[in-house]
Amino acid sequence: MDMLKVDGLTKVYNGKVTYEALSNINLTVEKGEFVGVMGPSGSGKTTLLNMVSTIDAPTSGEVYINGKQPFRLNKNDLAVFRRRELGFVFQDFNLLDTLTIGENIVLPLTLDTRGMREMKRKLEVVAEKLGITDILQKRTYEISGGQRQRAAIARAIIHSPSLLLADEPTGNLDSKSARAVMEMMAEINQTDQTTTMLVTHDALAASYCHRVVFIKDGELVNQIVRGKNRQAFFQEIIDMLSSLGGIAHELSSVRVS
Amino acid sequence: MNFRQFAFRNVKRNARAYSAYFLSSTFAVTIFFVYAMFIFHPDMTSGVGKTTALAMEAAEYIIFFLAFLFVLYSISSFLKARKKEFGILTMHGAKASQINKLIIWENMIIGTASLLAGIGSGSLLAKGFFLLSAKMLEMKRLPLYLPWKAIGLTSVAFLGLFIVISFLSLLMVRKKRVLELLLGTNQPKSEPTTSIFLSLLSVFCLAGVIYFMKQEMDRLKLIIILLLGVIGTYFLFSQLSVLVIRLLKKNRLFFWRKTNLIWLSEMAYKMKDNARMFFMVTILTTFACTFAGVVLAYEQQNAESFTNNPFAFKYYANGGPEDKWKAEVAKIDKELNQVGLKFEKIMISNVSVGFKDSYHTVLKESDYNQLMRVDKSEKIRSLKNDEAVIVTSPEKDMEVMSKKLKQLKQLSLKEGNLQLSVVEQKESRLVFPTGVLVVSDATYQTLKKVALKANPEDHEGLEVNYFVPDWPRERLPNASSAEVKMGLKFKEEMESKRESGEWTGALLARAPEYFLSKQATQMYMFIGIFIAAVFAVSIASFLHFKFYTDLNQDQRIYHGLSKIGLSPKEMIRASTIQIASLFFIPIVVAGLQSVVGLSTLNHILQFTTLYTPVLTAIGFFFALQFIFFLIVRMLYLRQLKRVMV
Repeated sequence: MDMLKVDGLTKVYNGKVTYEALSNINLTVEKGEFVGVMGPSGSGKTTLLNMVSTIDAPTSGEVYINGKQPFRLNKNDLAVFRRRELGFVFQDFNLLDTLTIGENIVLPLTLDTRGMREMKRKLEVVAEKLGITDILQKRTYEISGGQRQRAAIARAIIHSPSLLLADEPTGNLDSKSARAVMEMMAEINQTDQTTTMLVTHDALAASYCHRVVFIKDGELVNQIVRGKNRQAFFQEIIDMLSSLGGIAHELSSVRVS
Repeated sequence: MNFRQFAFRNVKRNARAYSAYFLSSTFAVTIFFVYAMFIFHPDMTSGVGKTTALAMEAAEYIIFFLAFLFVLYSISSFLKARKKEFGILTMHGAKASQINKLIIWENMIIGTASLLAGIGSGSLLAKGFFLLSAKMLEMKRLPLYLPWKAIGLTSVAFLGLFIVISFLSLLMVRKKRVLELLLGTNQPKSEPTTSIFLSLLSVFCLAGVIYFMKQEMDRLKLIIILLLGVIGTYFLFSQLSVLVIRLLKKNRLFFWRKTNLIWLSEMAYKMKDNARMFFMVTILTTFACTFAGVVLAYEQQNAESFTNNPFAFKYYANGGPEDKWKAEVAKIDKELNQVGLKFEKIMISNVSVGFKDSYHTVLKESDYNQLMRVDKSEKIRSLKNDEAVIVTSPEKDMEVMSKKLKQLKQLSLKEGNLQLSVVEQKESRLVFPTGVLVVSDATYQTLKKVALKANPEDHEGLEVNYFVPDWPRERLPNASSAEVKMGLKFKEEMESKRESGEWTGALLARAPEYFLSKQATQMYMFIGIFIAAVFAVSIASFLHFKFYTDLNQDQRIYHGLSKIGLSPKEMIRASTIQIASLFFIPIVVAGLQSVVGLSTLNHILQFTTLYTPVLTAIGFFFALQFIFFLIVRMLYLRQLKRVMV
């Protein structure tokens, strides 16, 4: 079954110079699949992610998520659609400083007015899964970046979304935390069958996917599917990127900011 | 690009950050200037009394003081928002002196611009203001004039203010580490702390206020109440409110529900951050409301005493020789006849008689019924010789006296064996407020003889009431009313003659009493409303300013939340609650405090209707704040809606 279907998606930015950010993209992601999107800077990765995550409307083409067409909805309904069907993981975590980690995680459920018992139960389960049970009472500034990103993942999956979207989730992390976060995402994908789409610069992070598609100049140019060995897959990704004309050092596997 | 150009471009290109500061400064200048124009007006300086002029000058000082605080507040939050910029400059090798210079230059640029803008908009506003003030003070409309004096005063005062504030603001950015500056407002703040002890102290103080209110009032208790109230209010905002929010957060059923999670968690920070401002606003609003309430109540009472009195003039013959008072009454008659006014004279005699319980003033039945006829009130039936009617005043401050009188059933003379039984009780405002006995005309003559025999130096009292049909009591007079003019003339004449002993009686004219009193209260009202309005607008623009400094942060938060599915509707809900609570919490607390405070004042001042005027005053404040709330909310939400995806 297709969880995400992108059909002839085109995005044109009208400005002084009309610029086609995406042209005629077709992409299908099946239920339970873990797909990576890669490409050099300015290739249109983020534009594609914004369309899929319904926060930007395409110029033409359709997006189907779990069989529904989100762009037929108005702004308020769209927000409700996002919080029920989608989960987000951001590069900069996007956690609220004023809330504890636990409160941050239950936020999507609270906005949806779920029952107290359900919220507590789900929080326990998800915190257990991500190994953050003992920091639920802490505040965002009291924990490390890796823990913050795990909390953000917990928030993204607490409502069992149809589609989990991750935008450079390892971009702000050190290599050890980055690895831990990616392993966590892979595990969630495996055990819960959560369909996941990952946009990244990081070849190491991408090597955890089942399949990686490459974008250049707004077009899908290639895709590679992972075999048995993750190391070999990592090498394939590096080779593909350099063949796309990226500069080797731009694609360093770790970026510490 | 030299340094001065840098400063200038900084202002020009970062207009949004500066605009709030600029607008609040302009506003302060405008208010000050308009008011200065008013008090320096040539017609004004010659047309008012010395006390009034002094009061108006004092108000100008208060306005200046508020402006100073206001600009100081604005600049401190303005500089806080720019911490990061100063950090970057320092990182790149700007010396402390250069940053100081930058701040001073910027301040002077904004200061000069707002001074010019303020004087400009002030001149426009002045016309409307003159119309309004003249109407309120019942003077003729003031013509516009070229206000060199006001311009001079405003320029000097505000240039000085901006210079002082520039230097004060240097103290605010100094001695901060570069790192701290660089992190600026992005540093997540730790959760606000609250002390249970201080929260309880606040509760006890406020409870103490209510406890002492219920007691008999004296000066010491009043001071204790004020002290407890101030301390209680301060900790109410800085401690108790945070504690309450924390307890609300513990209640997950409430906290984990819809947008409550978002706004309630922000609230603790906002409360703590603004506790001092809330405190100041609340205390000042309480005072303003109480003051306005008392003035309004006084005015209302003043009007009531006019409409309750059917007689334009009341002449008391203070026991002088008969030919003397007759001549004086004749003189009044003559003056009234001269202008062709019809009038009716009602003469009332009274005598003070010693009864066993105490002395009482006694009136004739026929005299009393005459009064009632003019008053269009119920007359009393004709009395037998051993009967009496007790008439008390409905005034609240005479309550104790009236109660005592009403208990009397039988009266017997101190000397002699006459017995009177009380057959009826009445209320009227036209008799002495201490209450009187009304007896039959024959009994009156008997009692008069007894009383004058007992106290030979005493005499029969006499008052002459003038009823003028052309001057009905229902129509409140104004400056141009004939009644006011004539009354003032009588009063003046009588006072000059009295000193030389030419005049022995006392003349009471209701219209000048009312009018002079009204003019005084309106003066206070005018100054009060003006300051209150200034104050309300300052709060509003100050809050607006606060929101602007937090805007970037809030935009970031809402942008992120919007991505994970916060709908625009929910964003509007959450931020409306936040904005509304910042606007209305102080005013609601102040309202409650003024109502409580007034019940105390009512003990002392004995107003009959104090709550309506005070509620009017609070309502006025509230309405003003509500308008500003809508404006600030609209502007703020417009900025936030932009980041909603």
